[in-house]
Amino acid sequence: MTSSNPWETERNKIIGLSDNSVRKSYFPELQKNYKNAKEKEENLSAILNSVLDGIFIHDFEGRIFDVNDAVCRMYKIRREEALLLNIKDFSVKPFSDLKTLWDKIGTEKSLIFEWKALRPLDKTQFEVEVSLQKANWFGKPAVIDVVRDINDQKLLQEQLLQSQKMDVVGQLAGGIAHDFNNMLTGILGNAEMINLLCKTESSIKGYAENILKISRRAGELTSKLLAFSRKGKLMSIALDVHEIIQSSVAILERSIDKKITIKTCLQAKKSCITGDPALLENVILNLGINARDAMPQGGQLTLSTQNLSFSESSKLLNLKILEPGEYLYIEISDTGCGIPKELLSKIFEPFFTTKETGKGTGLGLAAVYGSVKDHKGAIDVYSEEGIGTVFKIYLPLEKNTAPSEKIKEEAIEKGKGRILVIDDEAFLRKVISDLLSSLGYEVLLAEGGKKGIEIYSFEKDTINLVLLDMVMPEMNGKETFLKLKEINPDVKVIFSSGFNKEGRAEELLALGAKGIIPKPYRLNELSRIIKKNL
Amino acid sequence: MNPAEPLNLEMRKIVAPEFIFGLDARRLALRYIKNLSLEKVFIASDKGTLEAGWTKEILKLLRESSVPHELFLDISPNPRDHEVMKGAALYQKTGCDSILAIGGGSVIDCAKGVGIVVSNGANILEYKGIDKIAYPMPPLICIPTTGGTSADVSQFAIINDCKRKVKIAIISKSVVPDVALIDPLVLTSMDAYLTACTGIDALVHSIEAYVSNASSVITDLYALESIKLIHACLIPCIKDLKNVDLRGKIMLASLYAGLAFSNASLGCVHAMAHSLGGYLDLPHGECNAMLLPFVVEYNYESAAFKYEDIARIFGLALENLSIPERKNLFSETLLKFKNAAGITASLKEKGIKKEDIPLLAEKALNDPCTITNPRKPTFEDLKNIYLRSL
Repeated sequence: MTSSNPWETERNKIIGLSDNSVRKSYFPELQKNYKNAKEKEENLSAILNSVLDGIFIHDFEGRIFDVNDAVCRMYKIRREEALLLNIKDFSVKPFSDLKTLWDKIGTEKSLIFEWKALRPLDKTQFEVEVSLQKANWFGKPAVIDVVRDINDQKLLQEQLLQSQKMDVVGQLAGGIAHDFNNMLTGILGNAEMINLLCKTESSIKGYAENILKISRRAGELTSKLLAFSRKGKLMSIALDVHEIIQSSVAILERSIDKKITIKTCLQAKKSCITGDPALLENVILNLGINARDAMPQGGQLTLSTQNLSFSESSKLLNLKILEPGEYLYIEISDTGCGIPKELLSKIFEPFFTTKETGKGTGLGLAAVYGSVKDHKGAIDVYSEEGIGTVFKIYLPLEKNTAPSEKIKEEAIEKGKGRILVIDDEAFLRKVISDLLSSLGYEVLLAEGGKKGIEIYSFEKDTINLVLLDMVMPEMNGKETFLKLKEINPDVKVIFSSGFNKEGRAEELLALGAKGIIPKPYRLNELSRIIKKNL
Repeated sequence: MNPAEPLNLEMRKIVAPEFIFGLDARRLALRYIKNLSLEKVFIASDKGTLEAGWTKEILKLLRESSVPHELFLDISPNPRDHEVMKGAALYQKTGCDSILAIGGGSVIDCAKGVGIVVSNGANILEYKGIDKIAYPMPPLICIPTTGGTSADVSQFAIINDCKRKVKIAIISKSVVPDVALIDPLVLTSMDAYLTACTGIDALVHSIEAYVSNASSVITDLYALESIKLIHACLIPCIKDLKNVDLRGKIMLASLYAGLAFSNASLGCVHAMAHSLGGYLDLPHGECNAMLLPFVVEYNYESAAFKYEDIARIFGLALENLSIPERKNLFSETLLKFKNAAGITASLKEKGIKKEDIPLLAEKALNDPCTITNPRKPTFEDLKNIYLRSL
C-alpha cells in the first residue's frame, strides 16, 4: 500500500511554491455587489420619481424615511423639508386617525380610502385617494403611502352631478311650462279678442291691454323656464355673437348706472355660431344685469371673447361636458362683491336668488344655463368675494361663417282661406278660432289627431292650412302630421307648441312642416306665419 | 543558525496572525471586537473552559459593553465534523459576523471549521488537504487556554471525520486566525496531566517542525527555542502549577512551536496520533507523547544532524557515540522525559490491540503530515512503529 498524497506537489503547497492557489479575495465580489446595490438603488429612485402619484415611506410613528418627486410637486414642498416633518403634518385629520389606519394594515394587506391632504407650508387642503401598504424599509417596519390627487376629479364629479340635477329640474320645469303656456295662450287670445272688439278707447280696452301686458310678462317667465329646461323655441340660424354682444351692451349702457364702466374686448377672429339670437341676447343681458346688481357702488363690467380649441385631453371634455372642436369663449366679468363659495353650486338652480323678494325671480341664471346648454355649449363661474365674478361661456363655432338676416316684427296681417285647427284644449280651440276669424279666415276645429285626420280626409280640397298642436293625447302632433301627409303629401301644416318634447323645430321642418309657432303667441305672429304660408 | 554556514535560500512562505503575548492579553478581546466593528460574535468554547471561569469572564465583559453574542459549547476534545456543521448553522441562523474561540486546540479547531463553512459553504470534510479554501473566513479571535496546541497561530485545523473514524487535516492560509490573544495566566487553571499532555504536544510540534523536510532557518529558530523552553520548564511547571513565570515560558514555547510547525508542517508522530484520535478518540497530546520516541527512532538517520541539535538541548553528550547509539540514547531520553511529565501509559494500556494496527497504519499513511516527515514512510513502517509503541 502506498500513500495517496502526491508527495512533492503537496510539500510545495505547504512551503508556498505551488503554481496556483485557490485563495480568493472577497473584494472584487464586494465591489460588484456594492455596484449592483447602488444601481438597484438608483433604478428604484428613478422608478419612484417617475410615478405621478405621491409616495411617502414612513414608520409607524409617522417619521418619514423618504418621499418621491410627486410628493414635492403635489404638496409644494422640497424633499429636504419633507424629510424633516412627520406624516401627520401632511394630513388635515389628527395623528390618532392615522394611527387607527396603520393598525388596520397589520391585519389587512392594503388599504384604500379617500382623505383630506394638507400642504404643510401654505396650509391649503385638497382631496386625495390613499393606498397604504406594510413594508420593510432596510430592516425597519414601514408604511408605504401612495397618494393620488383627486381634487379636480371631485370638482368635475360635482359639476356633473349638478348638471344632472339641473336636467331633472329642467324636466319638471318643462312640464309645468307647457300647461302654463297653453293657459296663457288662452288668456292672451281672449284679451286680444276683447281688444279687437273694443274699437274705441274705453275702460274695457284698458283692462284688456293690462291683461295683454301681464300675460306677456307671464309668457316671458315661462319662456325663461322653458329656456332653462331647454325645451323652448330654438331658432337655429347662423349668427354673429359679436353683434349680439354689441347690441346687448348698447341696451345695458342705457339701463345701468353710469358709475359702472362697460368694457369690451372682442378678440375672437371667428364669432359665428348656430343658434337663437333672442336667447343669446337674454344670456348677455341677464349676466350684465347680475353684474350691475353686484356693483352698487360702481365698478367695471368686461365682456371679452376669444377662440379656443378643445382636444381630447381637456378636462371639460372628460365628463362629456363639451365635444372636441373649435369654440367661441365669452368671458363676462365684474368687479363686484363676488359670490360666496358655498353658493356657487346653486346659482344656476331655478328660483334660487339672493335678491330681496320681488326684486328677482331666480330664473335669470337658470335661463342662461339652459340657453347655453341648448347651444351645445358650457358655462362655468369663478368668483372671489370682495373681488368679483367671472362667467365663462363656451359656444361651438359655426362652420359656415356668414350670419343670417335678423327676424323683424310684423303688423297684424289679415287674409282669406280655410284653416283646420287641431288642439285638444277646448278653451284654446275657442280662442284661436275667434282670433283667426278676426283675421278673416274660415275655421274648422278638431279636438284631437284622429278627429283632425277624419275632417281633413273629407275636406282636404277646401282646407288651405292646418294649425296643429304638438302635444296631444292619443295621437301627438307629429304622428297626426305624418298621417295628414299620407292623405295629401303637399298638406300645409303649422305646428303650435307650448313644449318642444315631441320633436325639435329642425326635424319637423325637415319632414315638411311649413313653420312652428310657439305658445303663447301674439296675434301678429300668428297672422304673419299664416299669411306667409297660404 | 551559524552565520559561518551557507544559508539555504530556497523560497519559503511564512504565515502568522497578529498576536498579543502577555498577562491579561485575553481581556483585549473586547477592544478587538469594537475596533473591527463586529456586530454579533459567535463564541466557541467548551464546558471545561466555562467551568474554569475564563469563558465567563469574557462573557461578562461583552455583556457589560452590550456586545451581542451567541454561545456555542457543543465541542468535544477531538472536534467532530457534525459539531462544526452544527456550529455553522447556529452562526448563520443567529446572524453572527465574527468568531471568538476561547479554549484549547479542540475549541479553536472547531471554531476554524465553523469559519470555513460559513464563508465557503459545503461540508467541512470537503476542505481536507492543503490550500482548498477559496474565501477568507469571518474575523476569528482566539484566546488559547492550553499551552501546547498552538492552533491560535497555525494554518492547521484538525477535524474528526466521524463516519470514517479518521482525523482530517485542513491546511491553508485562510485558516490562520486574525488575532491570537496569548495570555499565560489562563494556563494556571490546567491540572498536572493536562499540562503534561499539552506541553509534550508543544514539544512534538517543535521537534517535528525542526526535522521536517519543509523546515527553514526561520522555522528552525522558533523550533529550537521552543524545545529549550519546554525542556527546561515543563517538569518544573507540572510541579508548580500556579507559577505564572513557568506558565509564561511554556506558553511562549507553545507559541514558538506553533509558528514553527505552522510553516514547516509536521511528521509521522502527528500522522499516527491523528489516526489514533480519529479511530479511538484518544487525547491528542497523550498520543503524541506515546508515539514520539518510536518515530524518532524510525526517522533518526534521515535527520541525524537535526536530532543531534535537539539532543544537545536535552543535555546529551553525543561526541563519541555512533549514530545508532545516539539514536537509542536520544529516544530513551525522550521516553524518560515523557514519563517524568507523568505520561506513562502505552498504547496497549490505552486499549489498542494488534488487530487495530493495520487500519491505523492505513489512515496514518494518508495523513498529510507524513508528507513532511524526514523519512518517507511505508505502510509497513507505520505498522511497525505502532507495534513498537504498544
